[in-house]
Amino acid sequence: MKNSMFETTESSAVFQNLAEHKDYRQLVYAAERMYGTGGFGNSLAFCVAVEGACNVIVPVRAQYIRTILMELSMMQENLLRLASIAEAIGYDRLSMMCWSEREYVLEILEKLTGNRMILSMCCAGGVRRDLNIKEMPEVMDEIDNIIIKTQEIRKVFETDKQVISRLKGLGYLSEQEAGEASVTGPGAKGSGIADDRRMLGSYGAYKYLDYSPVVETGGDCYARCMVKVREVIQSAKLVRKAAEKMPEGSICAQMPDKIEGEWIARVEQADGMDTYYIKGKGSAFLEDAGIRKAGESNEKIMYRVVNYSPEDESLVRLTLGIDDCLKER
Amino acid sequence: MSFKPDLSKLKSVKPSAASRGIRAVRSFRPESLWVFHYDGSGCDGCNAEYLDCLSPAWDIERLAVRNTGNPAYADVLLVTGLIDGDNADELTQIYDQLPKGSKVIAAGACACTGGLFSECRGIMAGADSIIPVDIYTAGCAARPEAFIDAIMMAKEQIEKEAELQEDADDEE
Repeated sequence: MKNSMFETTESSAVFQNLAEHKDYRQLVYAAERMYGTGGFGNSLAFCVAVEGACNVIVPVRAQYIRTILMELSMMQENLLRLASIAEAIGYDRLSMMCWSEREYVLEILEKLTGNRMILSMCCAGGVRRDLNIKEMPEVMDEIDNIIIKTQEIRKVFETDKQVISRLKGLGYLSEQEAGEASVTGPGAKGSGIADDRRMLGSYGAYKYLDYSPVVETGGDCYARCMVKVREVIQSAKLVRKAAEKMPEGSICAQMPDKIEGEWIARVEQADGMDTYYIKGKGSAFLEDAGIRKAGESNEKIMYRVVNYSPEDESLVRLTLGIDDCLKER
Repeated sequence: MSFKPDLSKLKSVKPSAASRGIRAVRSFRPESLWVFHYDGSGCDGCNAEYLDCLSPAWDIERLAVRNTGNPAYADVLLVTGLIDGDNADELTQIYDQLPKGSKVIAAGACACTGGLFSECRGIMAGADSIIPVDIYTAGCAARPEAFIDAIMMAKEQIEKEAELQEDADDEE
């Protein structure tokens, strides 16, 4: 886009290209496909930015539904990272356990929305369809089963000698360095910094659910791996709590036809903080738009991480949230 | 004694029909398919769904299908993701290394026609603007069932070609 204020990263360039042809309602679907496994989080961030620019308040029931879908989406993404980490260590059995666990989460998402990863449930103003999870006992029982099985996976990550000898002490990042470079996601939580965008209260129903982030103090790859496993369990418990506490009400607010003003939305994904920036020009088409994905902004932390050899670099990048190891195959 | 090979005297050797063509399409080939997966620059959604196929939930290995890292041994080339100016050279190089009789699958909306990104600058409208494609699979992201369906269709096509080849050999 001409005279864009947002610096061009790779995903930002494609999104700006699409924003020239599509209006803000169609861009929700474009934002989803910026990143496949984190699709719902990206569409949520875009919707939060557009609603903020128009000063539209999302109804409470829609916030609860958005929270449930966001947590389920983060569960399947964290399990994908864990499976990649286990495969990079060489522990194929653990990797396959995480892959099959991820299938149960994707089945729940398919029962609720019809899609597995790219959900298309978010719209500017709320959500597109209503969900009544309290009256779906198969979903609630499945979430309880997932919690039990993930506790077993957590036991393996915590106590297995192969995992400990490979991950402990690797890629150490101190708390001071993490704070100075303002890294987000498991890079910060593994080094003792309790930093999470869900505490801001700008989206979702986290302020009603007593949310506090998972923190480990080790600072190495082992600590970041434990953060991911504990986050899966925490997400499942949040889904159950939100499903029980959900109030009645409408699911979508009225959105104006023209967008005026600018807004920045920050949303927590499995890798860290995703940033979406939009600027309206008084019509349905946007004047300026930009994205920064978590992996792109966490990349700068690599020069501060110590104690790893070149063979282990992909493992360090996986735990920090820069790579997702899908390219190694 | 030092030895330096004289590279100027090497001749380029083209594989003959006897070594590549007839041996490649045989009756036992469709019984075990080796798949080479090429992912262009995309959202990694179809990528994650293909890796799901190799997980115990969908498990294409029970159908005697295997993932390989070398296109010279592959029976099926599976293309997902977007093809743009940087990827086009890589894709043609990989296609040139495939043995004769291999099938090409374009899986996902971006590989078939460019999908959502077909209006963007620099994006080729699908993989079939670079290489000839045999099987198209829709979806965004393409489901694991669609991947399995496409690979089984490739297996049927290779079986038919093997039968025709055997009939032609018997007649001779």
